[in-house]
Amino acid sequence: MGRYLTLRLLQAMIVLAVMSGLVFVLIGAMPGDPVDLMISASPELSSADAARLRALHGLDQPMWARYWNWLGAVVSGEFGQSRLYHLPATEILGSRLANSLLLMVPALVLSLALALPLGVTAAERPGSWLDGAVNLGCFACLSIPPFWFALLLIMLFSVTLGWLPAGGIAPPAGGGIADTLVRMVMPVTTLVVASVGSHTRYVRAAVREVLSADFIRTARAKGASETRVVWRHALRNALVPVVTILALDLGMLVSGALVTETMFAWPGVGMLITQAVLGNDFNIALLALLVVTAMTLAGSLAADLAYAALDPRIALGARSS
Amino acid sequence: MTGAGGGRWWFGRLRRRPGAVAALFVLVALCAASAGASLVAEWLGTDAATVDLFNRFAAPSPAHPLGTDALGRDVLVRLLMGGQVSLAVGLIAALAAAVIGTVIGGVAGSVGGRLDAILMRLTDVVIALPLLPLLIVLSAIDPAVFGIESLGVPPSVAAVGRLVVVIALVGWTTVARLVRAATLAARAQLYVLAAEALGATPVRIFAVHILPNIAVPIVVATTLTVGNIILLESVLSFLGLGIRPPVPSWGNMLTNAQQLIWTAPALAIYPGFLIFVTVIAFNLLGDGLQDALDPRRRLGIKRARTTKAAAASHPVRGSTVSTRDTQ
Repeated sequence: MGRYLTLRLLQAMIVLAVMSGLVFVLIGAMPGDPVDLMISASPELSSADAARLRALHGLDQPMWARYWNWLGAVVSGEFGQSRLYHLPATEILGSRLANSLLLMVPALVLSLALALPLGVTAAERPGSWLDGAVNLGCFACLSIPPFWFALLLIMLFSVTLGWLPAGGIAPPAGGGIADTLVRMVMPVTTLVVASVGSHTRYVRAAVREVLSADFIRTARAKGASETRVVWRHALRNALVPVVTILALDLGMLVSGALVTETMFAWPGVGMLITQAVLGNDFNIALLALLVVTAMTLAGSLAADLAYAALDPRIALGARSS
Repeated sequence: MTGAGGGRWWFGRLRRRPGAVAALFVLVALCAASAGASLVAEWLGTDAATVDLFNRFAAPSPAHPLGTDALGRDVLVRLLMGGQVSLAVGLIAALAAAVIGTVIGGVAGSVGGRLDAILMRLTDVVIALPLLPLLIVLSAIDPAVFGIESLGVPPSVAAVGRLVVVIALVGWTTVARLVRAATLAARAQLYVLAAEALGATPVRIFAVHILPNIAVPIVVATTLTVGNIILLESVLSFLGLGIRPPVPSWGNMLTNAQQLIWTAPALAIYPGFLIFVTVIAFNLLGDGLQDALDPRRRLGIKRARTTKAAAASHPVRGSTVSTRDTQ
């Protein structure tokens, strides 16, 4: 177990290191370096000035040298300044992280609260009209483009009915908790619709799987009521794979809801990444992508650990495919 | 092991699933309509790029059956042209991902040992990557930095090609796992051992003895992937990073829709509705194929799907590009 954990952590470190290099090169390959942007902002700069600026910021050096400098700074905890916000990158990411969680946690809880009863009920009656309806509903949720669904919500509730504000986390003048709660309604709804389909299908598949096990037949043979069989014996065991999926979603929780946040102008990590990439905010894009990757890797490790903890038949580190 | 009779058999099974049949008809109709886009354009005497600033936001009329957009371009023609792009990206990228996955999974399963371990770790890592943020960066880069110049192809083809490459690079993992598992299982079978004893090369064993047996699950996984890739393409194009104007795609037709919901709400409805219909059709077709082709059902064995089947049918794990990335 200890050996397994060490190996996995080591592997995660290597992946992170490779990713940082890869992302560094990719972001460096985006059109326009910081000096180009400075020139476009102040046209009086001559090409000699530009060359001087490039030398000053080390942009005239080859990519690997720049990566090495950046890595050195990162090791001493220096992630650089944001080009768009003129603040340390870490400071901005921290506040954005909190905003993302404010959307993601309620969305996850609500999605599960819907998926568990729906999935179990569908699994109890395979092939029934109810099962078919749940299946179709799941596919509808999985197939609707999230940005379009958000657009429909805005059209209905903000434009036509005028009930809800179209975006933002708080009114410009600043507002209380009630304001924020009202503004959370549409983004959270969009996120729930985006995830409830896959959650329900997972619960259904897991419960169906368990219901065919021998111990369920035994429970039935001993005269347990159907309700008891399904909700007590089957669901408890079906939760093992479901918990695993939730751990995998941990990373998504942090990367935020890129599309949803952009649609509702919600200042979270997802919107931060989009803006940083579109606006050439080099340091922010690097830091945010690395944090998101680290969390996703942590999530997949947590999923494996949870699986082993919940299911005693699984031994970690055993040589298997 | 689906021979000629097998083909008829699974179509018979598929016919009993009205959702999948409806999905198939919808997809055929969408493909036909998109393929006929230039005919429609010719018939209406316009094309997807003709700007008419005196005729912006026109109401539907015989000359413009669905009206015109903010630049006075014909909406119907642009929707059909956008359909060509979206369907092409979805189908080609899914196919490319399936080919990459088959090669990687086949090599891992056939060679085994250290190479297998390395390839499977690589697969784990690609699965664990934050897909959408990474795709956004990949779509934003300038290929000229790496010395890749445009090869003199039209911009629409170049845009599609770029998206296909970007999506296929991260979308091959499910098929790779599927093919590796099947290859490992088959290598223990007597007929494969017999072929080995007769001196068949690993490549021949894979192509002749293993691949035909796993074609069906590959087809199912690929079908389920197409819809998700179309969804992903629409998100990237919507954000301004996938297919870029003036080439129309369903995603980029919605880019400015937020500003249009006051003046022309219909313009915000059509493209999104077409994406929705196309994606759900691919998902229902994949689901139907899965059930129709599941050999356990064929043998009439009444039991729950195994984890593998459930995972293959499951949208998160089962398709190469998962929808949770498009949130």
